[in-house]
Amino acid sequence: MSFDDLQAKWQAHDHGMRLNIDADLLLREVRRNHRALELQLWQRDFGEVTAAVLITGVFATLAVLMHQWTLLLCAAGSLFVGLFFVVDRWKQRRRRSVIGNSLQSTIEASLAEVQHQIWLLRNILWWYLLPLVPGLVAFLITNFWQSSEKGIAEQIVIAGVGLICAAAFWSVYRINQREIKKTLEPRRNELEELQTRLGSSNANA
Amino acid sequence: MTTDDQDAQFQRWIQNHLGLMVKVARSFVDGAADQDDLLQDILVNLWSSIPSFRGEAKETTWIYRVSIQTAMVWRRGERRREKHQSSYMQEVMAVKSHGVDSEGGDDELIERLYSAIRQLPKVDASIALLHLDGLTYREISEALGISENYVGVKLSRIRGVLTERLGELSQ
Repeated sequence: MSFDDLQAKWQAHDHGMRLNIDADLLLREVRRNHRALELQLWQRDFGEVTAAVLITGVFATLAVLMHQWTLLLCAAGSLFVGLFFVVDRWKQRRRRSVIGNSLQSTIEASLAEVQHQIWLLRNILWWYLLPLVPGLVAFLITNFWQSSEKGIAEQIVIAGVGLICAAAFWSVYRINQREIKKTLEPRRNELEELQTRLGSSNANA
Repeated sequence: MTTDDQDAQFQRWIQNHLGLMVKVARSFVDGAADQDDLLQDILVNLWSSIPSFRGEAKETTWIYRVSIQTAMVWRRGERRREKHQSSYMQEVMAVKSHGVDSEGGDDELIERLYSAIRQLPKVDASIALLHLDGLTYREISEALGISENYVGVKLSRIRGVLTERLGELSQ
């Protein structure tokens, strides 16, 4: 069978063009999906910021109640993380591509988004973990120092808490680095390949 | 443009061109669930794109462009649908997947052709789909934002590859 025969059969085939569609029902479903998507994005941002604000509040309250100024450093660290989220999301939303523009610009926008996610996760130590470290370390060292008068048992507990925090931070770091390798880098490569193909297509013009 | 105008335009496009979007979904991903997910994203993007449509391109060129752009950057499972949620689009896709809409008895051939298109690189798959649908080189170049020369060069290869794959499958 020649390609022209294939094309003729393809065009003769009814791919659903004449199917009776309830356009009103479909419109309602599309609008519901659109709202659900917007809500999902809003909930994600709201959840992240709320968590940062709550943690800041908890640290600040504990600092006042326990007269531990070092916890104020932790509160400042969480506040920094929350602000970082807000500024980052705001900047990324401004860069989004408008659907219906050229295919090249859509792929560029998707690629920029993936590259930014890689950058965020690769640098998670600096903007997410490290801001919390000075406060936690100061808190643990101060308490370790103060507990030396009370006995070794309390020092062991504080050292244990320090180790648990370090393990948690390490796990967060490792999980995010794994996510880069497993999901984001293959995605970036796929988009770069698409971009290259489209780029070479225009270069051949 | 008011929301009512946007809705009316969307409903008109759905009535006249839903099959075109279904074809894009079936040409890019395999499996009814993924095709349904992609079709839902195409429809949401198409509805959102209506205020940007200025009538400079033909309606079908615009619909192809939005559909293909969505399909190109679509990822499986990126938007997780709620499993319990009934979907009218799922019903539409199910009808297509089972070939109920067929009239000419070429369901198997067409399904094999879809399969062969899905095996092509995404840019080539887009060119193949638009060419099969009878778009001119100029229209393909407008829809994809690539040069007409490149479309011509690619098509001679794509036609050969698809014919060869269909031949292999039918043996």
